[in-house]
Amino acid sequence: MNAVSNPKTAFLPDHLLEQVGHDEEMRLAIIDAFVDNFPGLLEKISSSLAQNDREGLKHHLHQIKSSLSLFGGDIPFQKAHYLEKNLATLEDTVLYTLAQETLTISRHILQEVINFRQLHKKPI
Amino acid sequence: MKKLAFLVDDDPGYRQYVKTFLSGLGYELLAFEDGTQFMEKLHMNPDVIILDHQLGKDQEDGLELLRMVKREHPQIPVIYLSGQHDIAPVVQALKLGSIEYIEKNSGALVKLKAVIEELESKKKKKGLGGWF
Repeated sequence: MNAVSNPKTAFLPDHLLEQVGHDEEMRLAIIDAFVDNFPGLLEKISSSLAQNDREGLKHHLHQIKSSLSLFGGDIPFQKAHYLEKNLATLEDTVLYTLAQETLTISRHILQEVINFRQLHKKPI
Repeated sequence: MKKLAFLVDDDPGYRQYVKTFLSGLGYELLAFEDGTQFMEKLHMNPDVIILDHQLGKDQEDGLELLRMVKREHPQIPVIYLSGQHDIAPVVQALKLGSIEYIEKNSGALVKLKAVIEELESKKKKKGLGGWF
């Protein structure tokens, strides 16, 4: 099932399943870990951006790349990677725009993962 | 008895993914954000160590940790994690004795599983004589 509103920037459940060796239980376990950790990282990015803390922003962008790669595939990963690598030389307005775009994509993926988990969680 | 793996990575999400993933392979994972606690626990003699190249700001990088591991515990196999197309540290890590490197992008967990299964296979073939 790869139903997504925008396949370039959305959660890719089949991609994740492939990443965990086609083990559906493992996919759900990894999703739980993602939902536990990812919102906190996005908060740190928001905070660094608000404080114009480029060093902090770079560090936290680095920290979300593996999650974006696992859950959203290559395109959101590349966006965060580009921003991380070029952050020192970007003008403030460009940096802000690109970082906000990365945050929007990340939040969108997070929400889709949460929705997916709701649909697929095991009954108690 | 569960096998023991160590991971050093400053990404809390990735630490949790690897921990979850390796538990499915019968490993207990001790995950560290930086090298300090990691080095203090090395006496536990883990079955495998996974080191990320890029650790947090003001931290040593994975290559420094790899040098220390190989100096003090050369028998422990080390898998090195790198960024995408980050060739220079990978070459250095292999020269320093890392048995394998894995790019932390798509396919990393599956490749990690394959590397660990290969390690276990080699260990079985060698009996109790170690990995190699």
